[in-house]
Amino acid sequence: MNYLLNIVIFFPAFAALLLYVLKGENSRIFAILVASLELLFVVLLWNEFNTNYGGIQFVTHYELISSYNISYSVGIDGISLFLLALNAFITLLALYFFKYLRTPLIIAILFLESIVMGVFSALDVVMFYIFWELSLLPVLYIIGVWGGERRIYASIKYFIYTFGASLIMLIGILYFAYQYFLIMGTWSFNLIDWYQISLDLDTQKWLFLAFFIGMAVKIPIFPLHSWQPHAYTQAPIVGSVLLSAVLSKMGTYGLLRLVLPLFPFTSSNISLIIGLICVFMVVYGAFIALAQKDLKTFLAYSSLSHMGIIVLGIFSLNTEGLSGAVFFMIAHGVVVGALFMLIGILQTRTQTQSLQDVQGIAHSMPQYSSVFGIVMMCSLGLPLTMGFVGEVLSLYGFFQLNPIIAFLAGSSFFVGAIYMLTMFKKVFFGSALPKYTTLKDLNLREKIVFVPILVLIIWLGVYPKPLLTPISTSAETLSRTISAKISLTPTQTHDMENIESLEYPLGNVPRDFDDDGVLFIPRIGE
Amino acid sequence: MPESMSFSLTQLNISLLIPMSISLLGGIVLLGVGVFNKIKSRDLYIAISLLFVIVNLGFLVLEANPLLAPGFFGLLLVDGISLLAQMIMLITTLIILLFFMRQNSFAETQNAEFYALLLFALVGFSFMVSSQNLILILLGLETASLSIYALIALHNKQVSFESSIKYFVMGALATAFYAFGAMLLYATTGSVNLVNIAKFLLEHNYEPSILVFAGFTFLVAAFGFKISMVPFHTWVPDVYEGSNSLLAAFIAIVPKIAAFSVIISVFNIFLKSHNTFVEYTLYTLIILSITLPNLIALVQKDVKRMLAYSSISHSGFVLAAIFVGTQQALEVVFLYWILFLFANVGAFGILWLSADSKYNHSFKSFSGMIKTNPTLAIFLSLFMFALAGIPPFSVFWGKMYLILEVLSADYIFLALAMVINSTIAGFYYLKLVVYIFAKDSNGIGDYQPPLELSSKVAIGICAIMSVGCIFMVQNLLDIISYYLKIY
Repeated sequence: MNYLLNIVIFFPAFAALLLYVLKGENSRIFAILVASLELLFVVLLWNEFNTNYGGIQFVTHYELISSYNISYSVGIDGISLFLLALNAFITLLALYFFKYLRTPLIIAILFLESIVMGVFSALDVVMFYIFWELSLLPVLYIIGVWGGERRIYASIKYFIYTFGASLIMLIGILYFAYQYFLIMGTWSFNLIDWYQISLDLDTQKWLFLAFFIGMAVKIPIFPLHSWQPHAYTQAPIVGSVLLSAVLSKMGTYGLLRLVLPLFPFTSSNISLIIGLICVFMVVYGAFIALAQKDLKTFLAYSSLSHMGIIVLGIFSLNTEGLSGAVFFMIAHGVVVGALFMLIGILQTRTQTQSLQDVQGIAHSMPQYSSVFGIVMMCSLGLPLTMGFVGEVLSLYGFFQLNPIIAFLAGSSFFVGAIYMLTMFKKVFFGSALPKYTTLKDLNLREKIVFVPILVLIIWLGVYPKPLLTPISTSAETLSRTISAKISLTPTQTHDMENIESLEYPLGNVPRDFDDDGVLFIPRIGE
Repeated sequence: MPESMSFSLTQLNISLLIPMSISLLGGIVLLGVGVFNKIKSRDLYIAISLLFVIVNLGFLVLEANPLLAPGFFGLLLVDGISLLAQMIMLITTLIILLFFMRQNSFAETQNAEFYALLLFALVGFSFMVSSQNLILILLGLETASLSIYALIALHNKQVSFESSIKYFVMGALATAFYAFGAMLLYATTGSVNLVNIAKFLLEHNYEPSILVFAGFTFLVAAFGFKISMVPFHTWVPDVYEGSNSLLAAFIAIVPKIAAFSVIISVFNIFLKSHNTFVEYTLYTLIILSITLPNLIALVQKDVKRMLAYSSISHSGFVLAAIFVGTQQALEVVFLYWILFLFANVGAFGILWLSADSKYNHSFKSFSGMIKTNPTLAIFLSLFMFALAGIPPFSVFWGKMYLILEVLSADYIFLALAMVINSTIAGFYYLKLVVYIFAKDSNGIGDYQPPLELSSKVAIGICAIMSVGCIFMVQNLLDIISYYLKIY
C-alpha cells in the first residue's frame, strides 16, 4: 500500500484541476466529496500504519535530477501521520461549514490541501522546499482576492515575509548539500542521507540560523510575527481557519523534521534562549490579545501565545516534550480552527467581528455559547480536554531541561484564562443588546460541524492514547537520534558508525512486527 | 594568414559556415520576396523566416559536434559554447516568430525587411559567438547591433526613434570602448586572437599590467553595455519601452547570450591572473548589477520598464556564474538562460497579445485582467511566478544551481545578496499578479480576438517549459554538459 501516500498527496490537486476544467456550479458539493474521500484515504493510511515502528513508512522514491540526486521522495512517520489527518479533517470541515464558497476559492483550498500534504510527507529537502514555497500561492490568492478591506497589504506582507525567510532557508539547504558533498563525495538532497552526517559546530550554528529563520517566520516566532495578525484578520474566515489550523504547523513540523535532527548540537545549546523567547511569546501574545478589539486579531495573538508552548516543547529535545508538542499541534489546529469558525458564525449573524459591538449573545444563542465555551476551555487548557494533554506534556518535557522556564511558560494556563474569559464575558454575558435578541442559534449544518470537534476535544482529552502512542514512538526515534548525535563530539570527524543503528532506515519496513521486534515505548500520557 | 597561397579548400572548413549562411540566405530571400512579390503578406514572410530558422536549428543540432572546430585559419572557432548560444538564440527567435504570426496592426511587422533584419541580427550574433578573434567578434556584434537599431526604429513611434537613437549612441560608445580595449591588448600581446592573447599573458605573467588591465577595463565596459551591466544599463528600460514587446523579448535574450558566450572566454583570461583589481571590479559590478536595478524596478509604474530592470538583475545573476568560472558554473550560465528565456519570452508574448494593442503597459492597465481575459491572465501570472523564482517553476532551478555554485566557491556574501534580491524581485513580480487578480477592472473588458493557433503553440511551449521543467532539468543539464565537456 505504499502508493496510498501518493494518492493522499495528489488527489486534492487532481480534483482541483478537474474542477477547474469543468467549472461546474455546485462545486462545493464536489469539493466536500473530494475532501471526505481524502479524509477516508488518510484514515486508511492510519489503518495501514504500523504504530509500533518509529521510523519512516510508506516510502516512495523516484529519481528526478540524478546528477544532484534530487528525487521525489515521500514517507511518513507518526508525527506526520496526524498532521496529514489534521489537514484532511480541517479542510473537510471548512469546506462543509462555509456555505457560500465560490469555485475559484474552492480550487485554491483543494490545491492548498494537496501542497500541505506534500510538505508533511516530503523526505527530499528540495521537494520539501518546493511544497513549502508553493503553499504561498494559494494563500496569497485566498487572502489577496477574497480577504477583507486591507487584503492586498496583508497578502503582500505575508508573501514577502515568508518568501524572504524561505530563501534564506534555501541558502542553508544548498550550503548543507555542499557540505554533504564535501564530506561524502556525492551530491544528495535526501533527508535520510542528511541525517547520517553531522557538521562541525561553527557551520552548524550558521546553518541552524538559516533554517530557523525560515521556520520561525512561518510559525511565527516572536520578533518575526508581525505578518500574522494582518494575515489572519484580513483573510476570509475560511482562510483564517486554514492558516491558523494547518499552515502554522508547517513551521513547527519543519523544526521537528529538519532543524532538530540536522543541527542537534546547536539546538540543544540554544534551547534555553529559545525557551526564553517562547515564554515571552506566551505572555506577550496573551496580553496583546487582551487588548484587541477585533475577534480575529484576538485569536491571532492567542494563537501566537500557544505557538510559544509548542516551540518550547519541541526544543526540550526529549520524547515527552516532542510528543507533547506534536499532540498540541494537533489540538491547537482543531481548537483554533473551531474558534475561527465560531467567529465566522457570529460574524454572519451580527455583521460585525468587533468585541465591543456584541454582548449578551448567550441569551439568544445558548447552544452556540455552550459550544464556544467548551472549545474555549480546551483552548485554555482545561484538564480532560485535548488542549491540556499537549500543553502539559510540552511543559513537562521542558521542565526536565529547565524547571524555571517551564514554570514561567506554565503561566500560559493562567494568562490564557485571563484573556479568554474576559473575551467570553464581554461577548456572551451581560444584558443582550436589543438588536441581537433575535439571532438564530446553530443550524443543522453548523451542528454537524461542531459535533465531531467536540467529540475529538473530549475524547482525546480523556483518552489520548490512540494518537499519543504512535506520536511518542516516532518522537522517541527522533529524540534518540538527536541525543546520539549530541553524545558524539561534533567535531570534524564524521565517523558516524556508532549511531548507524539508530538512523531512520529507508524503505523495507516490515509490515508486521513480532512482539520481539517492537521497540520499548514508555507509556506516557496514560 | 596562409604562408603560401596554395592551400586546399578543406583547410577553410567551409562547413562551419553552413548554419549561419542559412539564416543569412533567409534574410536575403526575404528581402527579395519583399521587393518582387506584389502581394504583401505577413504570414508569408513569417513562414519563410520560420523555415530558415528551423533549418538553421536543424543543421546546428545535426552537426552537434562540440569539439573545437577551427576554420578560416583560426578566424572561426565553433565550440560547444558557440553551438549552445546559437541554439538558444534560434529557439528564442522561433518562439517570437510564432507570436508575431498573430493578426496585428503594427506597421513594422507587415513588411519583409523587419524579418530580414531579425535574421541578419541572428547571423551577426552567430558570427560573434563562433570566433575567438577580436576583430571578427566586433564585426559580428556590429552587424547584429545595426540590425537591431533599425528594428527598433521601425516601430515608427516617437518613443521608438528616441530609444533607437539612444541605443545607437550607447552602442557606438561601446564599440569605441571595445576597439580601444582590443587595441591595448593587441599592443601588449601582438595578437587579436583570444587564445593567443591568453597564452601570451600567462607566459608573461600579465605584464605590463597597466596596459593589460586597462584593456580589460575597456572590454568590460564594452560588454557591459551589451549585457546591461550596471552602470552601463541606462539604455535598457527606454529601449524596451520603445520597441514592441516581442522585440523587447528578443533584445532581452539574444544579444545577451551572445555577449555572455564571448565574455566567458574574455573574463576567463583575466580571472586566471587572480589579480585583486580584476576580482574586486567584477565582484562589485556584479553585486551592483544584481541590486540596483532591482530597487529601481520596485518603483516602476510600467510593466515593460519593470521587466527591463528585472532583466538587468537576471543578467547580473548570470554574470555571477561566469565570475565563479568553474565547469559547473558555466553549465549554470546556460541552464539559467534557457530557463529564463522561456519565462521571459512567455511574459513578453502575453504583453504582446494583451497590452501592446492598447499601447499601454502601465500596471493599472492590467487591473482585473482575470475577469476580462482569464486565460492570458493566468499564464501571465504563471510566468511572473516563474521569473520570481518560486519553486518548482523554471527560474527557481536556475537560481538554485547558481546559488549552489556560488556557495561551493565560498562567496557567501554574494549568495546572500542574491537571496535578498530574489525577495525584492518577488515583490515587484507579485505586484503585477496582485493587479491582475485583486484589483478591480478599470472599465468594460475590451474585445479580445480569440487566440490563434500559432500564439497558442508559442504560449504552450513557454508554459510547459516553465512549469514542467522539474522533469527536464536533468535532461537540460545533460545536454549542456555534453556541449561543454571540452571546457
